[in-house]
Amino acid sequence: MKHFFTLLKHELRGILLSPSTYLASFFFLIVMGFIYQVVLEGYNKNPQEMLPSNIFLNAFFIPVFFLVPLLTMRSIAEERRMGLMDSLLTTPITSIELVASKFAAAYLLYSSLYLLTLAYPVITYHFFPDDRILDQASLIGGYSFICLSGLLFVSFGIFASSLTRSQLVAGIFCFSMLFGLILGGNSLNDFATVHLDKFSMLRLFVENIHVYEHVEDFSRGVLDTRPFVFYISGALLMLSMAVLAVDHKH
Amino acid sequence: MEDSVEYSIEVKNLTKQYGPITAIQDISFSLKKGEIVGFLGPNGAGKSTTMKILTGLIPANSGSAYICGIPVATHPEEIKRKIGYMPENNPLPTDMRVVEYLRFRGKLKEMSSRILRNRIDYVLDLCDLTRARKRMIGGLSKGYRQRIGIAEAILSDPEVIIMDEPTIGLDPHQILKIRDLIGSLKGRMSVIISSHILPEIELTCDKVIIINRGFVVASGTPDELRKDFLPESSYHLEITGSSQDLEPEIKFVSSKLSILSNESFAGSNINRVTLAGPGDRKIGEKLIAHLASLPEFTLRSLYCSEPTLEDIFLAATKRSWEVLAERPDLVTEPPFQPVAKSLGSEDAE
Repeated sequence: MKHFFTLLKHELRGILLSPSTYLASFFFLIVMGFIYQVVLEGYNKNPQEMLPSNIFLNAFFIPVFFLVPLLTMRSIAEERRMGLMDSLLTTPITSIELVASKFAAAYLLYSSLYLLTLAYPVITYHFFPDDRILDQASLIGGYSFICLSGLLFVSFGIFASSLTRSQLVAGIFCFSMLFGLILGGNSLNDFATVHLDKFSMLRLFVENIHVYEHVEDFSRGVLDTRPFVFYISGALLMLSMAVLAVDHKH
Repeated sequence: MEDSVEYSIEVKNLTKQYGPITAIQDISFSLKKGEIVGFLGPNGAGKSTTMKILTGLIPANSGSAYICGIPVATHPEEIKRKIGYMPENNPLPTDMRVVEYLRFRGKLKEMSSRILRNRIDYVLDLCDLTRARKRMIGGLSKGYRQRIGIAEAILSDPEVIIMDEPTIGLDPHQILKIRDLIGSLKGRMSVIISSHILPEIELTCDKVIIINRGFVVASGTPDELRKDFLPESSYHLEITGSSQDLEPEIKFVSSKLSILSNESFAGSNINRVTLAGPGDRKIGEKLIAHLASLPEFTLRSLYCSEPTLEDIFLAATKRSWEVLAERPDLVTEPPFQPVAKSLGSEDAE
């Protein structure tokens, strides 16, 4: 992995020097700020069972559907379309290093964007010092979940981008995978078939990919090892497939 | 294996198919250390495919390729440390400065920072890019970009340089510079260049390989190819006198000479005559001596023109097309052992 850091530095340099990163971050923070404000308003009108940070973190899926495809669809597809991949792969780098660096750069940007939203409860607490706004357990749990699930979500995007030259196809394919995982896991649970005895293995699987439940557990401060295994192994699987796709296309 | 190490590039019976289309078939050639070889062929002949196989970017269906004696198919990582590659169309990132790009590529090529710094200055100077070192690549013209590609290919001082159309889009001044640059690599690095600018290839390269429709149709030095494909030269005369009387005198000098064209200037008895004959330079002397001795003719000028690489290229590709047209079955059904094979395989022996 000796070229990994050279490639990562190159990727991060591209992200940090590009004005589009700052523009995208600005709009993302506006949307997230709007969601946070809606949550606070609801909290103000009626008594709620959950803490404001819990409700806010539960809504983190909404931008995930758009943010992850937009962050990742360019990574490998664009390099391939421009022909840069060919010249890159004639240097002594491996496709593992290439995919890992693309993933790491997109993941760091994804995590940083979400971590920036920590500013909302901090700012609110500054003006309205109420312990429920800055509940440490739920914030640490919730943001840990965002970082953990981000591994899998971003790897979906990298995998989608490794399959095609078209950013559009990569973006929509990534969106479909995210949609399938986040909403599909929920819907599967509603099927009666899943609850039959002979499908107990399937039920176990469906229960374990239930992203909504994971986020609720984490934002209550419950750290279970099973989601860790699921998201990390899922991300490794996706990235391995991306490596195979890069190798195969050449 | 010892024989292989003598060669920087050795290609044996390489075949590559893209589905039903055969891009290259049974190609064999070799390059000695320090040799510069021009790789010619019409569009779609299989030049870029061969080059991509040599760099380890795509695998061949059969046959073997060696870089410095190392098999490309089984040791792609090792051969990547030995080559500098400039791909066709030379794709470059537009959002980097020239020097940043070279630094990035140097790091990927495992060069130490100290060596890299000196080497970047050296290649920037060599490719006349010093003034553009801080400029964004996206804002540079085609000529600059081509030179960045060449600078990048020679950056790590590799043993083998593979350049796919390096002079495309350059103006005549830049072509001259690139020619000198490639010429300066002679003896130090082995270079394989594909190009359409044939005079450049003829002046720079030790050897020429012509491929067409996936076969090597000719291989050798330009002089060898001239003997093989177009052994005749043309003699251009400007002469006064009766054109009818000229033919017997020409035949008297050499029976192998024939008149290709005869152009008379209206209002004068000056003729411009083109003769075809063997590429033996002594015939020119004999022509001058004989025509000068005849009082009815006044020889105003005479010069001999040998076939250019362009003529050889056209003749070689035409000959291969004729062979393929007569035997269409050969294109799709390997193994194919036509003229192409007998000419191209000499080097692999």
